Amino acid sequence: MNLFWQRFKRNRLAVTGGIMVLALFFAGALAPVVSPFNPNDIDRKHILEPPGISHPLGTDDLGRDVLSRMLYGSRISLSVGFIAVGIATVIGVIIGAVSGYYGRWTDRIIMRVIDIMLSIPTFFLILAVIAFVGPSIWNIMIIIGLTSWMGVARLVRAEFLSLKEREFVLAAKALGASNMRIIFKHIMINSMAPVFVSAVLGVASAILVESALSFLGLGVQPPTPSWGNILTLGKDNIEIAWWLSVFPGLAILITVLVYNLVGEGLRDALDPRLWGSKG
Amino acid sequence: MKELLKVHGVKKYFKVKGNNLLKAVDDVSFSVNKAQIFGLVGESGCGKSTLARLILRLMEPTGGEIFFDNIDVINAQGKALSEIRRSLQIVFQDPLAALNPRRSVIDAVGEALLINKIARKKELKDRVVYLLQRVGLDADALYKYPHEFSGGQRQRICIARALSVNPKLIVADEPLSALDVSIQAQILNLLEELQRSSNLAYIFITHNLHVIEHFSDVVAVMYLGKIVEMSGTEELFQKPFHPYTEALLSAMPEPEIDKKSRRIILEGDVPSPVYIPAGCPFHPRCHKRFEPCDTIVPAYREAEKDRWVSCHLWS
Repeated sequence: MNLFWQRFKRNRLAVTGGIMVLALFFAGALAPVVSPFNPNDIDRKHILEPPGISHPLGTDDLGRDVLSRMLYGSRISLSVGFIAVGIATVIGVIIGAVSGYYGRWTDRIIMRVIDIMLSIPTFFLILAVIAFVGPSIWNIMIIIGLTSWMGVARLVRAEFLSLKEREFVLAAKALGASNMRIIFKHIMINSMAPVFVSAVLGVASAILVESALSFLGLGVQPPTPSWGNILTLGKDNIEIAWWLSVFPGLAILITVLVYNLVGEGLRDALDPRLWGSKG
Repeated sequence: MKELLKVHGVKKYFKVKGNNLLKAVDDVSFSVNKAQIFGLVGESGCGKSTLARLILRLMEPTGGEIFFDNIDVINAQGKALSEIRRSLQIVFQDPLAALNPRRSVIDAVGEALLINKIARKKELKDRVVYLLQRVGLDADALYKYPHEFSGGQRQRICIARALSVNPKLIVADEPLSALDVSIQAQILNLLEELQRSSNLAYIFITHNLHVIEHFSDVVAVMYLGKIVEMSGTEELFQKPFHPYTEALLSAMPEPEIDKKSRRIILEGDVPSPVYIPAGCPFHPRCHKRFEPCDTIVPAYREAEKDRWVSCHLWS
């Protein structure tokens, strides 16, 4: 663990990313406290005002404060990111563990199912399902979760395939440990590092999918603010109100970037092949 | 003497590329008595470790029978299987690989006590401390992790873990090979002491002939998945029957400088276990081969009392 911190700290970009991730997290958590306005307060006297002193990021076509809406919107983005990734990780870990541990035909069937899932363009599948079940934040989380577990499953399967032949697993088996015990207490805890990394990277892509859906009007429904639907307003008013497109766009860009930086930093710090080198 | 383990005609074949069979263990039979030390020697890749895994039922054999204390090891289920798990234990070559890097010593050594309901949660700590003391470790070790120990200490933890279920037979799969020479002696003494105090039987797998000579009661020599010679240790070292054993013994470093030893240099390398030579598998490298060797497989037979060998010279 110490070694891991030392390695992580050496990566400046990842540390910066980590600080940004924490900042974004607190901004969302403290949105009701730090927002200058109520995000849904309509102010007809200040429609489409450019960024200024009273409205640091301007106002939208209904006179709502963009900064406040973006702070509340970050709650949506982050919760969609985390819950969708949580669902995907749980499914992926269980399926990958079963596939890798039991092997043989179980493994073959599961791997073919994963191949089929991967061959379907995920975004269009999500669009189709949302059109069918109706857009809501919970539906989005669940659907993103249900369509993005395959990478984790493959990762966990590969870890299980190599770990189950290791001598400490054989020793546990020789001591009479049950399959469940071997899976959870011996193999799982040794295969969590790459899963953790892929979950962090997954948050970024889930946020991106949610923004895209909201942008298309199939995600979080107005008046609930989300980065995606602020962008939609920006598109409608792009010639007169640049701030409606630029700030949510930047927010999405920066969020995705910092999660990727942290994820890559974690990956490098956790990779035992790099532990020996001083680099 | 009471027979503890009986291995009869055990085979393990692996399918490899091109539908060939790799005969890792081929028709091996032997038995181990109570409190006996059974040495198993052979070159790398001759099937020693596979045989160890088969005996512990960590792998399913292709054929043959294994009985432990009259329990059918290969088909054991439920209660019989957990009986085997408690009576048969293994110590591996590399103690770092044999310990879960993310579990502390009390978890590693205590695990089997909890699984087999030998100790309750409350008494666990005392039992683990007792086991650690038996292998020469302090109670400080309890909450440490494997990477915090030296190689010798790790091997002691592995031995404590194997002892936790009070086994009757421990398969030691090259337990010294990963250790420094000075530590090897300590671990060997520990194993010897435990054998005396607990009436343990060992199957001791190694390629260190000095250790075998000093340590074991019976020696079996394996070559390409088969036992080519098996006999009492003293007899075998005095007069090896099989030319392969002879060559192995001649390769032992002699501690006396002046003593003249005739070194038998084997020709060629060990053939691949996928393409085992016809006739006697050893004949292409044998310095005593004659007509039948390259066509007829020699029978494995008792050439003298308690001396088994498979060689045409002795049939």
